[in-house]
Formats: sequence, structure tokens, C-alpha cells
Amino acid sequence: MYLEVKGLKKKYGNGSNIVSVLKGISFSVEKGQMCVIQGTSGSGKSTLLNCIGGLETTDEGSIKVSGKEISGLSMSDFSDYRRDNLGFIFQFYNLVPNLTVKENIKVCEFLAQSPLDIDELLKTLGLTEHQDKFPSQLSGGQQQRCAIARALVKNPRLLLCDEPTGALDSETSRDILILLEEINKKYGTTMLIVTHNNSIKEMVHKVIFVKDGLVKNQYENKKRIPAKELEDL
Amino acid sequence: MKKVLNKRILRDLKNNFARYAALFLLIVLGMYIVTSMVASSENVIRGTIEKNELNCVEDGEFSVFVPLTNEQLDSIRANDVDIEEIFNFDYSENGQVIRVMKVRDSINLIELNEGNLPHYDNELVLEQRYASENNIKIGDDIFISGKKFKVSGTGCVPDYDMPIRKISDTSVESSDFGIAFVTGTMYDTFITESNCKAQEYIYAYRLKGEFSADNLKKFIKDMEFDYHDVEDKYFQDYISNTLGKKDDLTNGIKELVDGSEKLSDGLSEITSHNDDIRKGADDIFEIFLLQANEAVSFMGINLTVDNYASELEKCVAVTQNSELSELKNTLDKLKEFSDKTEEYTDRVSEVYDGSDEIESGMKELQEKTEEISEKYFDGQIDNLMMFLKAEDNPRINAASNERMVNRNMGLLAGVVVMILFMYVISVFVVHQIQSESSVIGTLYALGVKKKDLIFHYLRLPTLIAFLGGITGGIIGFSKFAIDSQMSQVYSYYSVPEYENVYPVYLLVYCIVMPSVIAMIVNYIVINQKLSKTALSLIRNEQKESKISNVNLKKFSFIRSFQIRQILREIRIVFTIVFGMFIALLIFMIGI
Ligand SMILES: Nc1ncnc2c1ncn2[C@@H]1O[C@H](COP(=O)(O)OP(=O)(O)OP(=O)(O)O)[C@@H](O)[C@H]1O
Ligand SMILES: [Mg+2]
Repeated sequence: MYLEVKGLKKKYGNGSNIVSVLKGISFSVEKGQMCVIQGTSGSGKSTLLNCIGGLETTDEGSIKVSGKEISGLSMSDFSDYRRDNLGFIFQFYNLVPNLTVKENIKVCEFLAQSPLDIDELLKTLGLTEHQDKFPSQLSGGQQQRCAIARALVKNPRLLLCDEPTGALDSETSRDILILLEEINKKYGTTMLIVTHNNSIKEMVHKVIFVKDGLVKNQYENKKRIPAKELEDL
Repeated sequence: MKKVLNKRILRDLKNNFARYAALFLLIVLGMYIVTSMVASSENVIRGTIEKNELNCVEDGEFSVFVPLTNEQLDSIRANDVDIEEIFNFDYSENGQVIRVMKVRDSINLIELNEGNLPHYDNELVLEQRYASENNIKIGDDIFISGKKFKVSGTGCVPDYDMPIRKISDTSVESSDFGIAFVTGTMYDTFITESNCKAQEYIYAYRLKGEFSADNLKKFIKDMEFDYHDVEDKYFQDYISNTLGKKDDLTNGIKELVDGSEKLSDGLSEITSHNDDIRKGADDIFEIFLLQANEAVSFMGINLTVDNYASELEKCVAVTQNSELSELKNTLDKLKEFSDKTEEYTDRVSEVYDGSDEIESGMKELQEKTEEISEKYFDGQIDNLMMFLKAEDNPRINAASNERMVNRNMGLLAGVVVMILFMYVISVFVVHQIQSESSVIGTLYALGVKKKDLIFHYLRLPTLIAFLGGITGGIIGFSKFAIDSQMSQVYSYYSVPEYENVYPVYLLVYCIVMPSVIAMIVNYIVINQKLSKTALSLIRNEQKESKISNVNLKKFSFIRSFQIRQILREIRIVFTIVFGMFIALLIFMIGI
């Protein structure tokens, strides 16, 4: 088991206006699996992802990443944990505005001891011809690809994606998904993808439904549909 | 990552060129002013020390009522003290005063600005500031007391660094006051011919051995001196105003003492008769009491002082004798007289005791007054009129002292102004950080740490400060900058031309100070902004600012958004303008 979450609880606020967001979430993901997390808005998907990503502290329960307990780490240990293990992709690309595509990727190169080859990565992501452009000169999909490249350059074992296609049209979304699939195959990256898109669950190994801070349903796909062939994106 | 981010710095610089260029220029301007001010001050300070050495500046000077004799001068010299007459007199004409002196031999030597020392008796060297204010050139003729002189040179002397006429003057008026140095023979001629009474007998000294200024002062005071030798009218006034007053006081008190003595003597005499007076009164009463006893003996009563009144009253009641009643009245009167006499003599004794006390009090007063007058009216008058150490002399090292203040102020103002400039820059940087907040948060999420970024954000301010400091320093050290600062000194003080110096500390100051301050100020400000969690940065959480509290509900969303944006910009502009204002203010005060 690469990722193991057990009885995870998280509250926000204090005093009378405490909101219990995660109320005991348990699930696990195997190494190299792509996993989709679905649920209604406000159900706690992002919170869950942030807890796993060490951006948010947890109240109770355990999170084990490749056998190592990460809940309860200090802020600076979290930072080291993220640097050594994680890639993050958000709905908004958050690229450094006055650096080119290639430079944006390079910013994170130093974080890994053995980073991926940038040129190869650019080629994989179809960014070679755009490598010297600034984010403002790119389309949304291109920017998201750049953000993915930046998250991948340090070759993370776990890639956390919070609505990666949330701001993209269906064709561009498909491109991104094809890309993620390809990366998963090529580098064996474990992926957690939070999404509202109902079709994406068809292409991944595992699907988890979250409702009111609890895992309502989870299953593994027996038969995956390649991203290329997804409908209704 | 560092290298990649450095590319960003250049692009940043390009995008905000005007803003950073303006700040750069301000730093250059600030550092230019500070450097030129400090460097020129250092020229004056170090130059003064050097020239003082070269021109044998005095350690002090003193003036006397009666010129010292050769023996006295020799006795001073015997204590390892150099001494030179710098006698002078003032010649005034049309409101201008020229102080005439001889050319100096060994102390306070003339530093020629142009020309030569007077070779002939009809030549003189003119103090340079006076010459320049009055447009007098070498070779020009000037008249002093009817004599015609040719100006053979212009220059200055270290004891008139600040050429003020009176020691108490606070500002230099070189157009109205100057010094002329003539040959020794010419000076003597002036004195004999013009019978000049206003000559000042001033001596300059230099201590070469153990003998201190205080030793010297005491030495001169102890010299034999007869004040009747002094012809000076003012001096005589002074004598009558000091010693004369002392005598008045002692005489007055002596009279008081004498008077009180007399008073006490008289009273003592009066008191000595007290017993007689009392006895007389008692005797009279006794005699009458005897008579009364005889008169009432037939009744077998013995009258005494104590019982006569009651006994007689009883008798009168019995006999109804009017004589007896009269006798009693007489005895009463006499008794009263005797009592009153006693009271009187007692009082007289008391008065006498009091007068005794007065007398001894007066004697005490006299003793104490003598003590005091001895202390304050230094018994004997001495020859010393004025004694002034060089460090207390406002004319000596005046330029250097003033520039020392300027230098310190300048160095301090430089730091303060740099802090303000850097604060302004940090406002830019913070603005940038806020606009990039979600990018920074994402980088944090990927494992980038605060320290990786903080130095990145420090780089541009530090670079600008560093370049600004060096550029400002170079301009500040330039001939133009130094000359314009030095001309302020040369146009006020009467000082020799100083060489330019390049103090190492100032070079270090220019190179290091701005960047260090840039780092410190920006670190403090930026560190705080970057010390947020990745999530709060991604969400771009900001502290509830006043701007979002401004009520803009009556405007449309777009309009109110624009207004908020403008308000935010105004805040930055205000910070900058205020910072500049303070910076300029400090410079104004500093200069
Ligand atoms: N920092 C916070 N402080 C207080 N409450 C929070 C905070 N972050 C999230 N919440 C609350 O936690 C709940 C879950 O939020 P979360 O962002 O995890 O939802 P989500 O499932 O990602 O929703 P969406 O699909 O809309 O992104 C929400 O009700 C939200 O209001
Ligand atoms: Mg969410």
C-alpha cells in the first residue's frame, strides 16, 4: 500500500462555530495507481488533499505515505516531506509570471536530487515549441501543462491534483488527462485527482466518493477506458 | 533555482524601470551629498591637524596689562615653554577695522595663499579673506594710519582660523575686519610714532615639556607686578571698582563694630549703677516705714514691708485717723517706686546683655567678611588680563570643529535616509509579493522554502542600494563635488588650502552601508510577508485592510473594485512621498 489514510478527522474554527469537515476518512491507494476523489462541493475533498499534502494539519487519524506516518509533523518537516515526495497541481496554474515556460520548470528543478530531464519533459508535455514563452502568452491548457511539468520535474512519487481540468474546456481537459495517463505509465507516479467531472472516473484505477466528510463509496475499476476515448468531458 | 530567479530580477527591473531608476537616483543623490560632505569635512579636519603642526599653532595665549620684561620672558622660557609676542593694535577707518601685527617668527606662522612675506618696511601681508572680500590683489596699495603699503602677499594664520574681531563675536565679517602683517621695524615705528595706547599685549605660547597651561597661568600671576605702572585708564577704573569696593566694605563693617562696642560700653556703665539706684529706693522706703512705726507705736504694732498695708488699714478703720491713712498712701507709693526701680534695673541689665551679643555678632561678621573678601578680592592684583587655551579659543580650529559636527551629522543622516529609502523600496517589494502571493504559495506547496525566496526578494533592493551607494560615492568624491563643498569653507574661514583625502572608512561606508541597510530593512519587512502558510498564500489571504472597509456599496462592482485599486495605489504613493519628505528634512537639518 503506497498511501494509507485511517480515521482522518479535521475540524475548522473554534468555540461555537466549529465545522467538522472530515469525520473519519479511511482509504488506501496502491503504488502507481491513479485515483479519483469525487463528491459534492463543500464535502471536504480539497481539505482531504491538503491534509495528505501536508498543507493542512490533521486533528485525528493517520496518514501513511510509503509506510511513513506524516500526520503530526512539524511545519518544516512538512516542507521537507513535500519537497521529497509530492507534486501539486491546482485548478489555477500559478506560474511565475515573468519567467518563461522552461524557466518556470527550472525553478523547481533544484528541489530534487535526481530531477527529470527538462527537455524530455517538455517534449512529453508538448511544450517544446512554447518553452521560451511567458505564461501570459499561453492558453489555459498550455499553462496547466506547464504547471504539471513544474510539479513533475522533481519526479514526485505522489501527484496531488485539485481540479486540474476545472478551468479548461473539454478538448483541452482531454489533452491534460491523456498527459496524466501517459505520465502515470511512464514514471509510475501515484496520482490523487479531485474532480467534479463525472467521466474522469472511467479512466482511473480507483474511485472514492466523499460525502459529508466521510467516504461514502469506493471501488476499483475493472476495466479502464483510456483518456482518449472518454466521452462527455 | 537561484540562477533562474535572477533572470526574473532583470525582467522586474525592466518592467518597473522608472520606479527603480527614481529610487536609484535618490540613493545616488543621498550618497553623493553624504560622501561629499563627509569627505570634504575630512579634508578640513585632517588638513587642519597637518597645517597646525606645520605652522606651529599656539597651545594658548594670554594678555597682560604691562608687557613682560625680558627677564620675565626668559624665566618662562626656562620652563620649556615657547613664547612669542603677538602684540597688535586696531586701525579703523570707514567702519572697517584692520588689526596690525608683526610677521610671526616661531608660533602661529603665516601660511601664504599668494605672494611673499613683507620684505621691505612698506610691504605687508593681508589676511586672505579680507583681501578677497575687498577685492585687494597682490601689488595693490593700501593705507594704514596715513602710511602707504604695498600688498606683498595674502595668507592666513592658525590663530585666526575664524577671523573674528572680538573673541565673543559669533560670525565672521571679513568685509569689515582683516589683519595686516608688517615687518617688526614697521610695527615698532607705528607704536612710537602714533603713541599708540590701544596696543594689546598678547603672547602666544607653546608648551614643550612638563609645564602645563595651569602651571604657566600661575607662574604669570605670581610674577612681581605693581599696578601703578599701568597707564591704562580702564585698568585704573577696574582697580577702583574692585579693590576700592573691598575697602568700602571693610570700613563699613569696622564702623559697625566700633559703634556696637561703644553701645555696649555705655550700657555697661549704666548697669554698674543699678545697685546704687535700687539701694536708694529701698532706703527711702525704709525711712518712711520707720516713721510710720513711730507713729503707730502707741498701738503696739510692728510694721514691716510685708504687713504694713493690712495693719495700717486696720488702724485707720479703728481710729478713723486721716493722717494714718495718708501715711499708708505714701508708703504705697514708695513701695511701688521701689518695685519699679527694680524692674527698671533688671531691664537695663537685659539690654546690656543684648548689646554684648550685638558686639560679639559684629566681630564675627567682621571676621567672616574678611575671610570672604580675601577669597574673592584676590588680595594682590596681578598682571594677567586674559588667559585662553587654544581649545577654548573660538578662533582656533573653528573650521575643523564645525566640519566635525557636519561629518558626524552627515554619516548619521546617511544611515537614516537610507533606512527611509529602503523602506520605500520594501513597499514596492511587498506589493509585488502580495500580487504573487498564490504563486509563492504554490512554490511552498512544492517544497520551496522561505529562505530560498527571501534572498531572492532581497536581491534587487540590495543591488540597487549597492550600485546607488557606489555611484553616489564616486560622484561624491569627484573634484566637482568636493570643490563645491570646500568653497563653502574657503569663503567663510581663513584657512589654507587643504589636500583631498580619501578616508578608508568612508569608502567602506559607501560600499557597505547602503546594501547592509537594504538587507536589514527589507529582510524585516519581507520576512513577515513570507511567513505565511502555503494555503493562506494560495488563497491570497490578507489582513483585513482599511481599504476593504471603505463603504463603496453605492458604486457598481467594477467601479468599486477600481476605486479600491486606486486607494491601494494612493497608499503606496503616500508612503513614498512621506518617506522622501522625511529624508529631505533630515538632509536639510544635516546640512
Ligand atoms: N480554512 C478554513 N476555515 C474554515 N472552514 C474551512 C476552511 N477551509 C475549508 N473550510 C470549510 O470546509 C468545508 C470543505 O471545504 P473544501 O474546500 O474541502 O470543500 P471541497 O470539497 O473542496 O469543495 P469544492 O468542490 O467546492 O472545492 C467547507 O464547508 C469549507 O467552508
Ligand atoms: Mg475543493
